[in-house]
Amino acid sequence: MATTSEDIAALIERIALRDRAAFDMLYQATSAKLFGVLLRILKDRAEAEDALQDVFVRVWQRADRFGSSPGGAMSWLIAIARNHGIDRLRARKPVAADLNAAGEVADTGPGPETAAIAASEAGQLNDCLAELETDKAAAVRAAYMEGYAYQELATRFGVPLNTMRTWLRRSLIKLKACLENGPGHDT
Amino acid sequence: MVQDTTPEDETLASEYVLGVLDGDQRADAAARIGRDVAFARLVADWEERLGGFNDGYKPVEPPASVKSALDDRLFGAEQKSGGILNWFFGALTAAVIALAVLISVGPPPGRLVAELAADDSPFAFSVAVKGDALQLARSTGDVPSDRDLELWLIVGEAAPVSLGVFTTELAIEIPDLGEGYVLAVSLEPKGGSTTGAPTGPVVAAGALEKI
Repeated sequence: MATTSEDIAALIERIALRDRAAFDMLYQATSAKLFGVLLRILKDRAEAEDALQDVFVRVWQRADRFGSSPGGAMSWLIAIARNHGIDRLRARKPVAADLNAAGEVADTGPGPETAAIAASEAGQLNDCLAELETDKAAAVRAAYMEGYAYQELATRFGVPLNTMRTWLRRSLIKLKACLENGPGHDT
Repeated sequence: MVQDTTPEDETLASEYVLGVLDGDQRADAAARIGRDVAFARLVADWEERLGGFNDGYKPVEPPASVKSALDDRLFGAEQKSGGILNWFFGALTAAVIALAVLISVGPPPGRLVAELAADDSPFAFSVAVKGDALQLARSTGDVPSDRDLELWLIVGEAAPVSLGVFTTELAIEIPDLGEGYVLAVSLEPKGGSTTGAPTGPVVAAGALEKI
């Protein structure tokens, strides 16, 4: 896919002017990535399909609010998808964690092209994660990627809820310092 | 009016973006983004910091039914231009833009060629046009025994026009083809599309060029 973040931003600006052709192009260019986000978080294909529709309805309705996203157009879209996926997850009735379903969309590495596009950004984040203890880095990653709440993370990592809260809060402070100052600067 | 933020706000913003808040806390934080510019900025900063994780989400192609349901929802069934058709135009963005630029030049006489291909498609076709005679040959890709290929001409945003059904090659007479005209090949049921529009995936596309 030759579509760049600038191309996507231009499409979103056209969608804000109610350009349906641009909407179709945006769907074509980004639906697979956003569906991947929703599948990873919801771990349920039918619900992820419904959620994908909701996400694009929001994009159509909120395209005029795009423009303040410092991370770029794709980050803006992924944030909408992640937020909607996590909202749906939280709205579910509490059920036991389904580890089998989790395996269905197991952690797979990025494809070669996405890896290349985001290499520098992801590279810096990975360098900083590497400065955290293994368990804590894994908890941060699982929280972001899967949208697990504190309680579920605590259960999965076999630690008390308050311990998990402390782990993640401290880890986020360290990550922020590392991302701002570069790896190797102790805080 | 920008309010001051506290270390607690910073923590809340980071937890919101990380996705670990429970339902009520999460809803409160989301509501605050809408009314508190300083807090919204903290959230945006955290989205940027943690954006490197987004790379780990593997793309998965959604079924075509999602797009048609989405179009029904947003635009109503009667206005629907068709999920496949929209997809089709999307896939051909660059080519159609090229056509829009070139069409004002008008169809020049002489010999035209096109190489039809697409990212991630095993299919490729070569097309040569001399006078009114168009010849197409499949270069790569295998056609399943229960399917046919169909060649389409696309002018601007008008609906694609079928030029014929084939499996390995196609020779037709068609007047007034010009540089920049877009040709596309879709995979169709045996005998070709019955709807007058592409119903299967577009496996290759390209614009005619003068040589």
